[in-house]
Amino acid sequence: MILVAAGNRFRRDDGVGPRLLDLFPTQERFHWPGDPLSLLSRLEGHEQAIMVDAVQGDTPGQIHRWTWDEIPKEKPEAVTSSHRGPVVETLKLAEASGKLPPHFLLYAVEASDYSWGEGLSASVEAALASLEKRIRQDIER
Amino acid sequence: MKNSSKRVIEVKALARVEGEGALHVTLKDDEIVALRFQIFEPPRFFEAFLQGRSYNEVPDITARICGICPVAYQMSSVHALEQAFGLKLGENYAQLRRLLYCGEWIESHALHILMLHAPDFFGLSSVLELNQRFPQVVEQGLRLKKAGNALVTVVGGREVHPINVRVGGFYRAPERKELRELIPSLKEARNIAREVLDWVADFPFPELEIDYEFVSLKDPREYPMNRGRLVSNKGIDICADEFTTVFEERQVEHSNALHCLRRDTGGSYQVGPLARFNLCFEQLPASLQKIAAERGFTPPCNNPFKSIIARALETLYACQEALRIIDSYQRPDRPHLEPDIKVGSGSWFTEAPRGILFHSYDVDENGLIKRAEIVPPTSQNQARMEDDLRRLIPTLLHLPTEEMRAQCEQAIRNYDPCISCATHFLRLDIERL
Repeated sequence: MILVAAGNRFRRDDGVGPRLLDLFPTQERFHWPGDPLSLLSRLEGHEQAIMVDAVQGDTPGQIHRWTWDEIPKEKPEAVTSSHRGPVVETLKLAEASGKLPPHFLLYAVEASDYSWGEGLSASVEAALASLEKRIRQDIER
Repeated sequence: MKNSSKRVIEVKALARVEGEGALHVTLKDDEIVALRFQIFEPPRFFEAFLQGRSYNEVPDITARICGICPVAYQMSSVHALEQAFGLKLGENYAQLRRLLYCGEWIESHALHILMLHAPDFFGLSSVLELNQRFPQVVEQGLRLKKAGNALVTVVGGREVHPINVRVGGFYRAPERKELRELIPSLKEARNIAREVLDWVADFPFPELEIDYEFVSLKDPREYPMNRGRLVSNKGIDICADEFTTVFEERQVEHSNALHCLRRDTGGSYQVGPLARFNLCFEQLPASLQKIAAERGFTPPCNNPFKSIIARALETLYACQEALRIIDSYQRPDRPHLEPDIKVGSGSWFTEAPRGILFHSYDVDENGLIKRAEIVPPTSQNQARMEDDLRRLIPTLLHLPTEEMRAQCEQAIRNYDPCISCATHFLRLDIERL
């Protein structure tokens, strides 16, 4: 089992993933720096992976829990960088190359503040305890 | 009478380069009237916030400029500061630093060749599509990446932003046994790198020959990484202290990154794998020279699209070189030598995966940084990328807009630009008036 976070902790709510990792110090965990190969390399060989990322939405702090089949994939993500591969495209590559763990979950937390600086917005901060609890339950299953 | 025609080509986001940028081209009657490679990644201010920091923080702070080539920043900074303090290190430290650099070259080159650049040669938009056609690429990329990661982790302390490099050497010198454990993965990587080289050498390459000024380090003892004089095929032969007398960074209105140009002519030049290949071919081991020659890849090579072959050759070289260094590794008695802190100035350049990385520092009597200057490879290649497009676009005018745009993007990716480093990505607009 590996816990993976995407996001930048110096861009406010985008840092919800790395902040969540801080709460699991004894778990194998990986803060993905963004390039596709490093994510595939860390996912390879695991039976289970849980990934946490911030997403845009209308309800800051709302938590979505998606299995691989449930992740919305029909709409291409905006590509604004290269070495930082888009999350879903990189996960599709992991699936196509047989590196995606059979038990994969993506927790997506709706964010409101992507400005520079540390610390989450009040809504996302308030969702953190629930996020931690749900992930612990998934790990124990 | 010729009708005035206007054509607009726009790419909102040019992917598969590092950082945020755009390219705007305006054509009037098939003549380029404006061409701007814009970098709008915000300025990073690293040179300013190094001022007043201790010399021993510099390698770790500058490593944060880039997640792809942090070792390059560490290497250029420690050598420049050792120059400032008059500290000379023995060959065993030099070899260990070279070994660390090999790890970064393997990782960075594998990422660019297989994940970012190769799709261009088949008209594909992503590695996901490439993987459907060539299912081996992801596996090859992963094995190379893992070998490079393992090397950087053992020598550098961790795989991203290493923490084991310091002025005077290392915080801890690895045991011989730790390095020898890397041999199986490096041998596997060497075999894969050979397959990758064979694959890319047969790519369909657009025809384009440009009379470049190539600039790289050159050292008679070895293919360049950490040492040597800076040379070009047009007469440059200088040491690091002379860098700013020959080159200068100029501000341009359309970019947050400075353009580094020849001071005397204002001309652009090329740094990176193709420059190193052309200038330092004879420093490659004879076995690699033979492999390159068997694939028809010998200097001079002036086709920028063939930089991918040079990059693949260097990946193979870095695997071989790492194995050579490990085989002869002698652990230094002390992990580092203490510098004698004093007022001084020091400049150095090393070969980052994408080309020359220049660092220069003034240090006060307490070892605090008074002045820092950093010139990354993408700043140096930026004007050259614009010049390449000025040469390329006239050959593409017969093509539909989409194909024209794709080849322009490919031409930019020839340079593996790292825009985060240079600000000190990419959107492409081609406008026909």
